[in-house]
Amino acid sequence: MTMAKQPILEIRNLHVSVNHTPILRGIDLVIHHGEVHAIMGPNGSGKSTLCYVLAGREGYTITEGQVLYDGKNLLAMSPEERAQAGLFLAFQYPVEIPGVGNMYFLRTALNAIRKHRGLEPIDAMDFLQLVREKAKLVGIDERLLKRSVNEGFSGGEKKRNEVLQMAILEPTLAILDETDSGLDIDALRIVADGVNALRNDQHAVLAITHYQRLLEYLVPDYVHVLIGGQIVCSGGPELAAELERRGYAELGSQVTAVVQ
Amino acid sequence: MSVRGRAIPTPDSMSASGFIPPLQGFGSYENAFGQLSQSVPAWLQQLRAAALDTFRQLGFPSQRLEDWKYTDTTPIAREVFQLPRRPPATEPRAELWEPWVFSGGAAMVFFQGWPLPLQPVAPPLPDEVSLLSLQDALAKEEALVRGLLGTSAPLNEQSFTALNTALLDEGAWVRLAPGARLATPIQLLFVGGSVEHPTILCPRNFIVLGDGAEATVIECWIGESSVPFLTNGITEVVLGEEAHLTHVRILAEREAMLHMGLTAVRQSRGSTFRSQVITFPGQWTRVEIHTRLEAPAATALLDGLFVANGSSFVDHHTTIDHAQGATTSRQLYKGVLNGASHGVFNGKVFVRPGALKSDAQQMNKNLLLSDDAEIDTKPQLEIFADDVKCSHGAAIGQLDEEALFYLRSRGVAAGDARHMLIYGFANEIVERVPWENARRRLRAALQERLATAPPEDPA
Repeated sequence: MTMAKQPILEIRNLHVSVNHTPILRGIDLVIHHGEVHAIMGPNGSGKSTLCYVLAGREGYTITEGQVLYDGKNLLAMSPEERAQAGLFLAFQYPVEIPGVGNMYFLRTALNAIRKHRGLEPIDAMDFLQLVREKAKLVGIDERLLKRSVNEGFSGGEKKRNEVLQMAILEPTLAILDETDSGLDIDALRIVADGVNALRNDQHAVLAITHYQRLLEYLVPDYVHVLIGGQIVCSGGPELAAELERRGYAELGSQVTAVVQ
Repeated sequence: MSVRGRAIPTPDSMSASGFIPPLQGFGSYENAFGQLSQSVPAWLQQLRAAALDTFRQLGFPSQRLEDWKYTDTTPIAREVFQLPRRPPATEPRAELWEPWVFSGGAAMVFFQGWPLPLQPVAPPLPDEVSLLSLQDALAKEEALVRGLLGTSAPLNEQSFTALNTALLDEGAWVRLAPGARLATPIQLLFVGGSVEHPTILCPRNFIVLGDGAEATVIECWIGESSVPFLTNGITEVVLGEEAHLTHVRILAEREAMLHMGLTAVRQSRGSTFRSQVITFPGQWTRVEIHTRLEAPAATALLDGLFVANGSSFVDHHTTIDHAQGATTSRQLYKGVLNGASHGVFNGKVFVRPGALKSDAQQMNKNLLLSDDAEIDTKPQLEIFADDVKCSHGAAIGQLDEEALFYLRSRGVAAGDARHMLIYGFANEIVERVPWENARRRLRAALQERLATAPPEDPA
């Protein structure tokens, strides 16, 4: 493990409210380069809130705690600064944007990130080639990319498009917000392959999921269980299997008992 | 629905009848009438004279009329207009109009309403297609012209139609015989402006498709002028059974260009009228589309986009008349208003008694980009039949926050993301235009008017 190195993400005692209702109630999480973490939890446990807070969406009040990204205060950064610094959120519900071409959008995003990395804008031909290559990897029909962003895409196509964007933008920390939901097994495998292709000692992944299914293909180094806005237990990949067997309810009550 | 940053000025001289006379009297219009070429058939000269009488009785519509509630005609009523010289004194600068000839098909270019001899090279049209100036059509197909003139756009009590008819001299005549199909669009380009005195122009165009004929006609109205230049143009469209017309109407004017445009359509059984109206207005613009679905299975698909800046006034009025049942209409009009511009959308749908199973949907969406911009949007459904499906909606708003966050979360700076969404909002209509060269031209115009970065297309 790369414990000596600075973590890519360090969440310390994070408390978040929405409209004065506490949603996250003291999250601690440390992710290092090269690691894949999974957060599992039932509906309403705060999984999506955590994703959005990390990506910088408005409407969330941080009442306590801090988040360091590569040692810097993540919460002080705008969404685009976070993205340019290598953070990526694969949305649970990707947005349709009629009138904005997929290719144009992708290229603008890539060039914004390249600029931040001190690289020249990518040449049109090179970009096309890059998209072709990555589209094949995630099994997305190239014709879809000539359309407007996500417009008229099926649920599965939208998820693949998220993974395609991830593959092209090559984030340092990729956060997947239930990217597996609504996917059949084949699509799930392709999505997992896309994520696995990104896996090396430079990158890190935080996969948020409701089910253990995804984790069969995307074997995590760590699994955390989020219930009621708190991480109630953490472990290795075997924890996912155990959850699948026993369910959140049983684990939840057991943990609550311990906490009390 | 109405959102406004300022009150609509009300002309003082408004009469109780709902019409206002030209502020400087009818003299200039009578003079113009007197200057028209008399070498036209007697029936046409009589029609013009009758129309002048109608106009003399009416004058211009005032804001007391429901149809003109948000539209102040004073910028027109106060001017003393002249007709342009015949033939025009100058030629238009090529760089002004050449970019607007893009279809690769047959085209006619009019400068100040006068057909230019410099026709762009185009493959010859098949025999069953006539593409003529109106004067040529009167020489070659007089009976047809006479039979059609005024049938889609009747005189009635329409001031501007009466004025157009009174001063009618030229226009384009497009006629496809039954079964004729054109794969490449026909382009009609009207270049206005470049005059020294306030000028009025009243072109009258015809697009006539026989049974089963199919065509795309792209009308472009362009020009810039430092003195008022009023185009009061009408395009009459008649669609035979199972005829399919795509009619793209682009207006890209600037400065003191004033524009009153009417497209009046009659549709037979099984016909499709696909209308795409894209407007970059000068000082004052009103575009009306009227279509009458006269037989079952007729379909009208109306898309519209207007992008206004500065102190432009831009008004789109649509009227879809479901005169018979089992007819379908769809409308999506979008407006982007910046500066202190003022936009109007009025969409009227009639479903006549007995027009069962009519299906009408209308949507108008607007984006206000400044506090001083104003939009008045009014859906008007008048339904006199049962068992119909009608819906309408109007939205006035800012950018979609969810989409903004999505773009920013991918590294796009907030300002760029905003531009992208504004562009995308408008471009949705451009992308519906079924001809890539036209879309390319329109995207460029859109970028220019929205002042956004060019979205290069790597694919």
